[in-house]
Amino acid sequence: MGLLERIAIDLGLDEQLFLSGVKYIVFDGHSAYFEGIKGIKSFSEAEIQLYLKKGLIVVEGDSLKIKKLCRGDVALTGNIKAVKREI
Amino acid sequence: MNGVYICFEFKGRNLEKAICKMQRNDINLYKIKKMSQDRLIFWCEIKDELKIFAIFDGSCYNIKKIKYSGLLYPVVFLMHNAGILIGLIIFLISLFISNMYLYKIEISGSGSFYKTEINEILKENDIKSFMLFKNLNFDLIEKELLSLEGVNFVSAKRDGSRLIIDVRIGNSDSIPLNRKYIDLVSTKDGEVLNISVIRGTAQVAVGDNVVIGQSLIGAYYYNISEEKVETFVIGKIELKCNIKILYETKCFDDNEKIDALVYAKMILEEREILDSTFKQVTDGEKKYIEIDINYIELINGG
Repeated sequence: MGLLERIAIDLGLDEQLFLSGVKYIVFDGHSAYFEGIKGIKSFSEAEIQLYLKKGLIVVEGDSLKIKKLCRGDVALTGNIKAVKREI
Repeated sequence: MNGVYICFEFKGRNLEKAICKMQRNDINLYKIKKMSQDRLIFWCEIKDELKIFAIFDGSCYNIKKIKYSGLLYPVVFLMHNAGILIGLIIFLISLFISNMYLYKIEISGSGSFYKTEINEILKENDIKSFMLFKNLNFDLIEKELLSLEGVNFVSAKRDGSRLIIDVRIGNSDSIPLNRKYIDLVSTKDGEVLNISVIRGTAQVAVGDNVVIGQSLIGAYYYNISEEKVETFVIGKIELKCNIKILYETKCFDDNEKIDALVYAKMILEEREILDSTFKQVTDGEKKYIEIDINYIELINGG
């Protein structure tokens, strides 16, 4: 069982929400990991916009880099200041 | 990142679209870096290399491979460069084959002056260059060479594609075979000025007059039991010898005397001249300077 799955169970999330929704985790503002990403709308060192099934996720910070982009998973590094959800 | 990876540079507008396109085609991207608004650098697995070119065939992106990386890259490089791989294989095969053959026979050691005899023995046993090492019988070589007179040690071994034969004579490596127990004899008539004997027995003393062929140092010594033991002579004797040299001249002045002395020195080579006297000699119309020279003749033994 993965970490996010275990968290979902602990939070009592319903299965549909867990499977279809975006999931992300930020490690103390230095790196972040996203699941359920559909694409990249734009990216620069200051801001990265990620497509979701519905809406966007906007990551703001400094020296942002995409370390990995595999299917729906995105790993970011840099100085992450904010993660915003835009519908 | 494990495996082999390739770094691409994309140039063009709307680079995010290109990333999405690759993502949709299940291409995993790593270390995506936007160098400028229209320049992108990223890494992907080498298996996706052709896929990327296929996806963007005819598109408005300028795609360039920058470099490869990964532990397995040398393998991939060889696969993509069959010529190098074939060359390498041919080289290794030729190295392996050449290692199987004997290319050179080298004879070393104090018995190496037996070279001709050794080569004959090797020839008799069908041992020659360009033969297979596996057909070489080192024990046989050693056994055959030990039959040579005076040889008491033989070692035949392989060194790369060479056969090294070490042949040694007697107990001492420094004594040549042709050396015998013979006296040191005088090569000149003269008076003994100095005598040094390291091995052997002196037959003359300082002040003795000796003649050509006379024994100077005997090739023997007496041991504690007063028994005569033969030995090799090692010693040095200085003889005062005399020589008369005639130098043809036109007149008998001092310059001619000097020339005559130079001529005499040339004849005596490096021998030390003790004293010299000059005498005018005429033979019909010819004039000569006769130089009477006492010089030191060094006779060495050992």
